Amino acid sequence: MQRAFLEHWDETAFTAHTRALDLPNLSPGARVLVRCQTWQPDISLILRNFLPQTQVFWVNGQEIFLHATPEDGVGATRKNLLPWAESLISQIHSMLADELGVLSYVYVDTPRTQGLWSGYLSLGRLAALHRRFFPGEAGLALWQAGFAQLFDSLAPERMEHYPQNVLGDKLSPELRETLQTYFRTGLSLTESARLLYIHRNTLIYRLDRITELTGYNPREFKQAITLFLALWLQGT
Amino acid sequence: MAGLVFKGVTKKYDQNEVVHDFNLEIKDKEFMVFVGPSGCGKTTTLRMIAGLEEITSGELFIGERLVNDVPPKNRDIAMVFQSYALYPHMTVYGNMAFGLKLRKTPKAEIDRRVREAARILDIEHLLDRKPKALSGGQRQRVALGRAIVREPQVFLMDEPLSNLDAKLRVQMRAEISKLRHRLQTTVVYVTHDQTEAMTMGDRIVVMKDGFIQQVDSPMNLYNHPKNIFVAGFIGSPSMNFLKVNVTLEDGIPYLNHAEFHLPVGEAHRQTLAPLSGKEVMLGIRPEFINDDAAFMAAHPDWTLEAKVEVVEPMGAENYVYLSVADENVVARFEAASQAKSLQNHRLAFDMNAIHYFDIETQAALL
Ligand SMILES: Nc1ncnc2c1ncn2[C@@H]1O[C@H](COP(=O)(O)OP(=O)(O)OP(=O)(O)O)[C@@H](O)[C@H]1O
Ligand SMILES: [Mg+2]
Repeated sequence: MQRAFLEHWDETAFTAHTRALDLPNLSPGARVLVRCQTWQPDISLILRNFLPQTQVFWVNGQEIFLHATPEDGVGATRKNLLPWAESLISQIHSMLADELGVLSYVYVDTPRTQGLWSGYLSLGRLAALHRRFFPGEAGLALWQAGFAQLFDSLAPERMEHYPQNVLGDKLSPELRETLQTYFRTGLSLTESARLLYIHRNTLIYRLDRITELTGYNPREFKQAITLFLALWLQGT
Repeated sequence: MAGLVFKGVTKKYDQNEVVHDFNLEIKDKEFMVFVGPSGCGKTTTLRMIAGLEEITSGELFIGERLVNDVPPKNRDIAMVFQSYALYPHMTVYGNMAFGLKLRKTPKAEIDRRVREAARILDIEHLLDRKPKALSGGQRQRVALGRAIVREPQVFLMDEPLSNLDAKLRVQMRAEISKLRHRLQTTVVYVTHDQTEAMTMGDRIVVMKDGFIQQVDSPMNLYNHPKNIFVAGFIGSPSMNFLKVNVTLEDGIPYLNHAEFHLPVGEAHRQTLAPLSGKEVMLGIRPEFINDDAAFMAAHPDWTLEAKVEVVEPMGAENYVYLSVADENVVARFEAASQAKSLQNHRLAFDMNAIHYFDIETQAALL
């Protein structure tokens, strides 16, 4: 397997190394950017032990950019890669916090284009979205942030107006939690009922209540989008 | 071993204060749960204890020591998270030993601690295995093991169970409770799941919007919630709330609503009498709404009629969703209950179990 370890690069060094690498030979995996709030050399050591398959491992200042490939066992199809890549966010975040007391944020993307530099830039943009819209999260995967890109150009007042119109404070904390869970599970009644420890009928009853209170039915896709965005914007 | 003390601790991100004037004493060896809805500041507070985030103002003590400026490594804490990252190429032994090696702990000491932790967690027979050959529950235990070998003064756990399936979750809940008795260490445990909070905590801190709402034992939170938020947050299904008008008849305060006229229970009369002519918020837990014939016969003046919307069989009991005038009320009736969907049903409020809240301040009146 081809490997490249690079420390303290700038754009020129980055590009030169990218050229030297035989990119099509990189195994399917994820581009990962780890941004640390403080720096210790052990950060590299820990990450390299945690992701021993990693083919590109580039350290610059307080950030690490890598092309991580899964252990065998995780199939290399894109479908399997997404959940694996997403799980890296909380794993890396918690590992560095626990082992070293370092706060870090982790950004991931599965490469569709071959360029490492453009991958790096795209993760940098993801970091900016994270800071603005998801600061409480341990990081962000590109495919979770698609809709947020749309709002990035919107004025803050407009972003307050919308959830106020849709939700106001019509929902009790219980109904709000219900709705959040329902969206988090991708509109799965079974899964949401399980997570909320309630019976499926109770869930349906609560979703009906939400429809009555807001005028939007979360079980209808397009209406769910309205509620989802309102809920999300209210939380930012 | 050590307790924790927060004195007026706040956290600001830029100009945005997300934890406000946090005052709390966690006792040595106490299992303290932080609970509250998403975004209320649980993780932020935990990070301040761990030293991952700076404290904006106020003081934090671990044991006797002011730790505001102590780096995370020297705080003598260990963290457990929901995701259990393990080093794939290392054995279970190696995984547990790695953190200690980084801390330059002597080899013999590492060995002693790893074996001790493995014994406590019942994973001695797995020490030579690689993570790939472990079940989900076993991996979770190795992750716990990694924290235990540190022999910290305080364990910090941020929703360690939230990604697990229901069965494993119940199992790990028991595991952590058992562990904490064996280890005799202070634990700060974050969750947004009130069931978890109620079953695990010695005491619970209920938080909302960065403010502490109440700090109390699980029983006290359930029986004596200080405000409407805590009352609604603790207990499942949630407490029901109805706005009622208080009137005084022959010296006895009554509660008036479109659908009922009920005498205040004896224990609460002194408090409610002076509120005659005012509106208050009545709170009643689903378990104190009753449709048992004997109970209703004994308290005929506590009864009212409601329309049944949905009956949900839970096995030993039914959750029954009712409407009282235009408001929704949930009751827990015994499985023998005759309540049927879309029919009117006679039931009683246990008037001695009612909570009262000020509508303006939302604070409990009793
Ligand atoms: N690094 C940060 N920068 C700016 N705001 C932040 C940051 N981290 C957290 N916040 C904000 O602080 C508030 C508290 O967040 P926190 O993560 O502590 O909540 P929580 O109670 O742990 O929620 P959850 O149950 O969702 O985990 C939220 O509004 C969050 O968006
Ligand atoms: Mg949190």
